[in-house]
Amino acid sequence: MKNKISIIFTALIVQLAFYSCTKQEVTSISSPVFSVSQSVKPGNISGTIKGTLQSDSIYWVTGDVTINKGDTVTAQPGAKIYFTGNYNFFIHGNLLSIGTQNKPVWFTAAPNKTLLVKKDIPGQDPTTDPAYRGWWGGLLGDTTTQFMILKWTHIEFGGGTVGTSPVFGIKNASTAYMISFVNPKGMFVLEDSWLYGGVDDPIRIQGGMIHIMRNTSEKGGYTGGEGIGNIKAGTVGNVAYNLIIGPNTNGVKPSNNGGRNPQTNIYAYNNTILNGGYRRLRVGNSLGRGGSINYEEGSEGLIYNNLFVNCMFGLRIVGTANYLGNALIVADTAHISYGYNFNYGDSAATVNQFYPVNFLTKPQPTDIPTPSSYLPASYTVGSVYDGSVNIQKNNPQFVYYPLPQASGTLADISFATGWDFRLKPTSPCVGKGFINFTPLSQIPVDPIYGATEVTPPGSDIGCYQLNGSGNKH
Amino acid sequence: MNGFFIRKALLFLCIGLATYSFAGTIKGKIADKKTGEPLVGATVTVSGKGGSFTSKTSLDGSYIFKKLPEGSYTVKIQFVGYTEFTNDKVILKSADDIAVVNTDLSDINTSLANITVNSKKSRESDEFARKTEHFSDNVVNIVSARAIEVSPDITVGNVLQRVSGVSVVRTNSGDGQYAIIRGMDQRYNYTTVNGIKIPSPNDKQRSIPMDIFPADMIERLEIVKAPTPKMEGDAIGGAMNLVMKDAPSTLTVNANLALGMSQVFLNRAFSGYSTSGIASKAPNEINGTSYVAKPADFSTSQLNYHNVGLPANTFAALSIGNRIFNKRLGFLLAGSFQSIYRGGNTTYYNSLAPGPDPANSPNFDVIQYRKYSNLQSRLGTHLKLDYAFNPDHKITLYNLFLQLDEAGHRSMLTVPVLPGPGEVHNLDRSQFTRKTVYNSTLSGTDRFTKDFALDWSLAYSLATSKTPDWVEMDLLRTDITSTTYFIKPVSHIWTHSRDEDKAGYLNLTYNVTKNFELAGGGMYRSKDRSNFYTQYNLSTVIPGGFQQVYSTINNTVFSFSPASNAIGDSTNGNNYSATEKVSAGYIQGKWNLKNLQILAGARSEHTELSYVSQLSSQAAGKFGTISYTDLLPSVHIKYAIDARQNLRASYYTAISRPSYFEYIPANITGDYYTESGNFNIKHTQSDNYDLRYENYFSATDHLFAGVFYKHLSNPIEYAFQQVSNNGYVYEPQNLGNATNYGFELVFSKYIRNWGLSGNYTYTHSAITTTKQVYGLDATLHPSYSYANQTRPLQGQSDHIGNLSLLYKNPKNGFDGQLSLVYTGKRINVVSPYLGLDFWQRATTQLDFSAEKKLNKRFTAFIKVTNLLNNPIIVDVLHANTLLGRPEQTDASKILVQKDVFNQTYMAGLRFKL
Repeated sequence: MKNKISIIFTALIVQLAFYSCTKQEVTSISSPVFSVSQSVKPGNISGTIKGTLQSDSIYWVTGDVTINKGDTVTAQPGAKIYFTGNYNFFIHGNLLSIGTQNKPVWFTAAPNKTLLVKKDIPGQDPTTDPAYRGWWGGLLGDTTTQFMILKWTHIEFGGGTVGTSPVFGIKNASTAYMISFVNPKGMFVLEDSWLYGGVDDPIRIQGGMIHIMRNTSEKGGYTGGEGIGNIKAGTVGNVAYNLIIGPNTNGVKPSNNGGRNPQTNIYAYNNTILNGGYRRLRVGNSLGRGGSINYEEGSEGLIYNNLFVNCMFGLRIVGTANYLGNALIVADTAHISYGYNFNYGDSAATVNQFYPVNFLTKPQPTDIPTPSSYLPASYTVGSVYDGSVNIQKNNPQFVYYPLPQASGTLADISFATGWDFRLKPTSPCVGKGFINFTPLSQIPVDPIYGATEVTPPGSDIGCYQLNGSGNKH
Repeated sequence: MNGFFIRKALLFLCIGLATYSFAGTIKGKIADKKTGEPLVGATVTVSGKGGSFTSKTSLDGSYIFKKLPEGSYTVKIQFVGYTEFTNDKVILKSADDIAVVNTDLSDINTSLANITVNSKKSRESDEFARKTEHFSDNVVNIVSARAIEVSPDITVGNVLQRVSGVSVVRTNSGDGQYAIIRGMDQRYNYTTVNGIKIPSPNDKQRSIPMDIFPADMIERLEIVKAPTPKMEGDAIGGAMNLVMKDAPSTLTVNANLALGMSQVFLNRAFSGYSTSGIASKAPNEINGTSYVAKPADFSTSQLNYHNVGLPANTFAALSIGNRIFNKRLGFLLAGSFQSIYRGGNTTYYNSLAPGPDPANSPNFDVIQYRKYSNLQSRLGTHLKLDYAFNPDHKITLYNLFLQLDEAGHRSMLTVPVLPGPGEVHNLDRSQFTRKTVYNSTLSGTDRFTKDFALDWSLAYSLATSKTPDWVEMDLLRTDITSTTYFIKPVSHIWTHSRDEDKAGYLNLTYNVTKNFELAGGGMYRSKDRSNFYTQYNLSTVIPGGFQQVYSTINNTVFSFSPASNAIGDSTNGNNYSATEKVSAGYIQGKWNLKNLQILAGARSEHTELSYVSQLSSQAAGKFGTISYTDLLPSVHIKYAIDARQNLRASYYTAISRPSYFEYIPANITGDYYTESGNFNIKHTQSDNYDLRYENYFSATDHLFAGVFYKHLSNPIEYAFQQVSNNGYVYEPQNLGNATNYGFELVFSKYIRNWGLSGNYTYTHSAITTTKQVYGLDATLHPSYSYANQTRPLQGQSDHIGNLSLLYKNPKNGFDGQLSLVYTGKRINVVSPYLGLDFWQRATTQLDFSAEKKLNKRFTAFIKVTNLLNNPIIVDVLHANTLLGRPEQTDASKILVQKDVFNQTYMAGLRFKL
């Protein structure tokens, strides 16, 4: 017995000796399944791709598409990328979508391989408008994305859901932005392109050097969302010459929220924004989320030459406040300059918010209508005033868009098709712009790998210039 | 505060204190012959011509009979487990004569070899607990069943707070749930039942919610602060071992029945709901992941709230045990059921990301006024069977099933933090959770020779947690004065987790010489864990894109809008599965050298964990395996200064394993920062030193004083990690080393029927982590930067203590205690931002309990908790920017949370056979 016992204990000692020293973690973690990117061919696409989406060819997206870090997918003029279901482009690498005026690139929905028909009818019920259904997800960049450059590209009907996002900056099980860019050192260019519909923000930038110029945004956001740019910390660039109609909330909303450097610095100039802020759910603090351009939470920049027509609010420079129950945090007011912005309103509610009540926007003598023409001497920044003298005055004189708006509510028109927002030569916007500042220049000028054209500030307020420059749509 | 119950309680106490004055006295003291300790509760019978009188010895072993007529008396002293003593020659010569009869009884057990069955009474007694502490090989603190029975506590979660060096983390209804041992957070401690580690029903952590254990099922609670090599090694803070009630030597039936009330529901209504309509499975679990759900698939019955008229708490417990078949087969079957209406009222300031000027200035959006109405149903059953083939071979089958149902309703009003009108919300959340723990252990002890024995266990355990159809409804009004409510989208979440353990243990003991015992053995455990999570959001938008006006939940029209929401989110990052295999071996020797005992040895633990997550296969770390091995040496030295005093010194090494979910690199993107798991984290290792002086003055009086020092390598803390050129995630990380040291004092002193017991622990720890600073740069532009902050470990209070005033009168069977728990200030939530941690203020809780023996079988008892109704208050230690807002009274700090739980009352009857 004693022998057996000693054998047992000896065995134990041997076992311990076997593990005689502490071993630190040996980890074996799955590497990303590096599917060697397949050069894409027209037809069905899904999985990991690289290479070229060829001119005038149709690509049916039948599953999530991944672009590996370091790879670039290029869409040539006239390439058509049709999503047949709720799929996303997960872009760890880069995306170039280089359309032309005559041959734009299309990212749109085609359930059952049938293209959708837009319901661009005044007063269309948003709950039955296909624009807001989220047919596919988004073009979702990652922190490794060096550039996403989209020129003359249609992006429509996106904003579906994402499960566990393989890219940074998208919440679990939430709605995809039609475009998400999250690399403060990367380059994001959206030029001469069209955004249509979406569920949340059509574009969410959480860091990036950006150039968003001469685009058209319609029907941005379903029950929330900003027209062309919900911009968070780490973002620097120009947002200019965009036509934004019917954004659910604001056209542009820069904020320095989100823990990334550099400080958000946006030059927003020569944008035309119509009917902003009215499609938000219209109850409680949804009424106070903005309607044109909104600078908040530590963001800085310049805001000149913008044309606001029937927006729920004029330019808002946010201070720390309880606004209808919404907790607002102050913008970097020391580093924001603005003026030469033009407001038009059909109703008392609109004209009395050209300078939003309880905000920090200071009336500028260069604004139109001239503040001194209607603000009382006792006016202080953010106070209530009677602007009724401006109701339906200063018609900006679009080539074809009836003002005052004939009927219905200001939420009813959220699409551009059928209208012409160019200015008549007699427009009060003509020649009133401020041109003595230089746009930000983070983005190189290049027909492909940069901005084709950084349009300098224009002398006509709004996105269309009588001389033909500015927005080309 | 409700004075009625307190007055009643005090009256009850006073009755017990009533004393008598007599003359002609027989008195004395009874002690244990071997140890000299006073024997408490021994029966003393005095019979003579004036009649026969019976009394029990008090806490210091004394007894007294007064006002006896003169004459000759027989004094008989009986005590379970001791030889009887009789003196029939006690004479009282006059009415004022005093006769003193002292005696020392000898323990009959000491004369019997291989006693395997102790009397139940002694095992559950305080005296037994003290003896176990006294004679244990290592540093432990023990709470006896009897101490728990007379305490105000009904769950183990609350019992823990009475133990030296332990503070608790409370649930939203005020119950202790997780133990912080010597300032070490729950992740550094583990729980065993009869020495078998139990898996956790918790979805993300390893820690077991201690409120799942009804207090009346345990025989004693052991807090091991310095584990020996035989014990599992992941006890940097310590290990909690629940020794469950064992088969008694004779037929024993215990029952108790009690009723109670929570003061919070005398002040306001309990708002409950029916759980009968809750769908146990999500539509995509029933119909497959691609199922397109319809609004009709979702029940809203749990959003129909009704007030419960008389929310009476009920408590019942029954246990039956005996040894039959010639005392070979022992059994104990016990069940405990508690149905408790628990709740509290909370004021909460919801934080936003801070502002830059001045740096990290706190921002808040809303004040939340939360009211919790939680119906807890706690069920515990266990069956223990043991069969002794002979004194050397015994086999035991233990089965435990615990179930804690909580039908929680959180009703919340939110108003803007900054003054002024604005949108307010009424939010209601119905969250029904069922947690279960099952354990079945077959174990045996075999003694092959006088010097060689082994014991073994095979254990199967399963812990589950299910939260089916957790619903949240949000009604908004444009202003607090408005009466029109609009209903926001309603979310439905199904989540469940499962953790299954299969384990085997083997221990061998060999007495090499009379003074040297060698022990060794091993353990193997295989764990399977899975977690499921799915969410649906039902929209309430109505045609035209308008908010829907709310009338009743049944009239609300739901839709999936956008339609893509109709497909459940089953690929959410919260879904994962993991397996873990732990194999361990140890060897230890125990030398007994006169007054010195040295126990030394080493344990080796090998861990292999694998996980599979829902990440895309394109992402790094969709699945992974992590393995590591630790050699954990320890030495425990006990020096007996004399029969009553010990000096202990110990050194041990321990580890802490990261929880499964902490490895999984799924990003959980929030509004202000992104959280993630981290597969690069290393397990924590520690060196721990303990020194303790113990003095057992008597069976009831003792004093422990000790110091401890812990050095942790790779403690796991949450901090920002840069994941790209400017992307940061908040994730678990190893941040170098931390130290934790302190001092503990435990005492108890009785003078006749009065006792005072208490403990005090001082702890100091420090850890440095990286936090975010949002401030202005040199050019006065806002800029984010990262800075190190040194702070105590989360949950560590510098000062914690307990003080109890006890009164015991064995003569009339009255037992009362007033217990105070003090928890010093501590960090409750570590903020990702520099200087904005959430600190819980120091709190004091006072509880009262009392019982009175009515007759041989019945005892009446009452328990009142939280007499002072002291709130739990949490602050951010930053100059107050919200002075004048509700509850904001201190200019030096901002209150972010205040919980008020009110008193609870309970009264009942206990039956013992």
